[in-house]
Amino acid sequence: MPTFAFLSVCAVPFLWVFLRAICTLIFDKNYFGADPGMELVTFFGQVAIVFLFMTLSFSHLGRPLKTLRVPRMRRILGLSVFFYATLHFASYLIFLAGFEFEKYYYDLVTKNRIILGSFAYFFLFLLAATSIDSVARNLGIAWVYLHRSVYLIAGLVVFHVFLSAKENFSFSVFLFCGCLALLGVRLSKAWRRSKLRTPIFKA
Amino acid sequence: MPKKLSRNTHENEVTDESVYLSRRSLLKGFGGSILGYHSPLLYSDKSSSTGNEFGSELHQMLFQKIKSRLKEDAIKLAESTPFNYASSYNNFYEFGSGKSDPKKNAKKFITDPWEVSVQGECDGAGTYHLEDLVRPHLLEERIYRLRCVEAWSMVIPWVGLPLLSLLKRFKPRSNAKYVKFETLYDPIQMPGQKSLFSAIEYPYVEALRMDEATNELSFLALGMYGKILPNQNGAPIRLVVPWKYGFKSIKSIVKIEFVEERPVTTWMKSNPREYGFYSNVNPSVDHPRWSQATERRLPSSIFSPNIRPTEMFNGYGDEVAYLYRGMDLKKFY
Ligand code: HEM
Repeated sequence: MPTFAFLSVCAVPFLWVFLRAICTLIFDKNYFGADPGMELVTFFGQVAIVFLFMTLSFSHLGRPLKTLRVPRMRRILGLSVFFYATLHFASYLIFLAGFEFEKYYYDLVTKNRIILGSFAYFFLFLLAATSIDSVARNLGIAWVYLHRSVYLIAGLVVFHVFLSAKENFSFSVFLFCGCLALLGVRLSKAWRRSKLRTPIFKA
Repeated sequence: MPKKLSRNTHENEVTDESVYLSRRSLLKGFGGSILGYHSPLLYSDKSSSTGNEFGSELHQMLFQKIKSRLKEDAIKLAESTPFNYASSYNNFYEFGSGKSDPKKNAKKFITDPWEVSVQGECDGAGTYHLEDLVRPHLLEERIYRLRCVEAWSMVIPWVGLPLLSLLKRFKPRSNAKYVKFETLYDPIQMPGQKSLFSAIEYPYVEALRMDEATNELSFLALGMYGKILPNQNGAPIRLVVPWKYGFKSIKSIVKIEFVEERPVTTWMKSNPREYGFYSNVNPSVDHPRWSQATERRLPSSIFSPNIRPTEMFNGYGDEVAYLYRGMDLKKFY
C-alpha cells in the first residue's frame, strides 16, 4: 500500500469531522448534536485509542504480511494517535475548559482522569517528537526503550477511560481486555525469543 | 387496605363532565377518527406512541389537560432549548447509557395503563391509576433550567402539577420525614436494566426531604413543550426539582413512599463518595469528575461553546435557600 493512500485512510475520521464543520457553516445547521463539545472530545478520544490499539497490534500483523512496509506504516499510525490525541486535548481545552488554562490546571490538580490523560499525552508527545529518522538514529538503543513506553501509554489511557465512565463500564472493560491480550502476545514473543537465544549465549 | 380503583367503571362515572364534554368535542373535531389510529397530534413526537393501537383514555385526558394548562408567556417560552434537542439528548439509563439511546430504545415503552403505588406513613396509601391521580388537577406550565451533574444544562417548559398538591391528597402523617420515589422496573421494556457492566442498581430510587418535596418549585411533569411527555423524557409522570442536579428528577414513577428514615438513593449507593443525598446544584462543591463551576448551555455549536457560570441552587436560591440554612453544604452535598 502506498504511503499516501495509507495516510489518507488515517485521515478519514478527521475529514469526517471537518466536512460536518464546513456543512455547519454553509447550511447554518448543527451536525454535531446538542452537545458538540462533548461529542468532539469523545469522538477524537475514541479515534485516538483505536489508532493506539492498531499501532500496538500492527507489528504482530506485519510479520505474515511481508509486502507491508511495517515500520513506516507503524510510524504513520503512531503519529495518527498523536494527531487525534491532540485534537481530543484541543477539544477539551476549547469546549470543556472554555479556553481557560486555569481551568485545565484546576482539573489537572483535582481530577485523576485528567492527570492520567495528560501523562499519556506527554509520552505521546515525546514519541512523536522522536519519531524522525535522524533523531531515532541519534538516540540508538535509548529510542527502543523510549518507544516501549507505548505500553505505558495504553495502560494510562485505559485507566483514563475507566475513570471517565459514569454508569457503563463496557468500553473500559473491552479496552482492558484488549490491552491484556496485546501485552500477552508481546510478552510471550519476547519469552520465546529469549529461550531461543539462551543456547547461543552458552555456546 | 390498598384501594384499587377499577378501570372498568363506566366512563361517565369516572370522567368529570368538563373533560368528558371536551373529549366529545375533540372527537368531533377530528371527525371521530381519533380512536381508529394514533393521531400524531396526541403525541409529542413519533417515538411516544404507546404501542396501543389507539389514543387511549389516559392519553386523551392528558392531551386535554395539557391543552387547557395555565400557560407561560410566549417570550419566555421562546428562550427554551428547542424541543428536538430536549427530546433526543438526555440520560435515562434504563434505556441505555448513550445520550441518544433513550429516544431510540423507548419508542415502544408502554405508558398506559399506568399505576402508581402510594405507601408508607400516610392515610391515603393505595394503588392508583394515573388518570385518577391527575383528574382533579389543573395543569400548569413551568419553565425551569435543568442542570445535569455532567456540566451541561437546558431550559425546558414542563407541564404538570406542583408535587405538594398531589402529596397532600395522600394525607402524609407527621412522622413522614422523607418521600421516596421509584422508577418502573421492567427489564424487558428497559434494556438498560439488564446491562452487564452497569454500575447502578435498579429500580432507580430517588428521594426528597419532606420540606424539599413540599417546596413550591417541586413539580411533577406529565408533559413538556405543551405536549405529552415523550417516553424518553420519563413518561408518563416524572419529578422535576430544578435546584438539584438532573438525576434527582426521577422518571417514569411507579411508587411514592412516605418514610421516616432517609432512604439510600440509587447514585448514593453506586458511589457514595461522589453522590450525596442532597445533590443541590453548587458551583463550589466539585464532583470528582466534573468541575461544577461552569456549564455548557445546550444546544451549543462548534463555533460557540456557550459556556456560562453555574449558579448556586441553579439560580433558585430565593425559593430554596431557606431549606438548607445552617447546613454545611460542603459536607451535605
Ligand atoms: C491531554 C490530556 C487529556 C485530557 C485533558 C483528556 C480529557 C478527557 C475528558 C475530559 C474525557 C471525558 C469525557 C467525558 O466526560 O465523558 C476524556 C475521555 C476519553 N479520553 Fe481523554 N484526555 C486526555 C488524553 C487522552 C489521550 C492521550 C487519549 C488516547 C490516546 C484519550 C482518550 C480518551 C478516550 C478514549 C475517552 C473516552 C471517551 C468515551 O467516553 O468513550 N485521552 N478525555
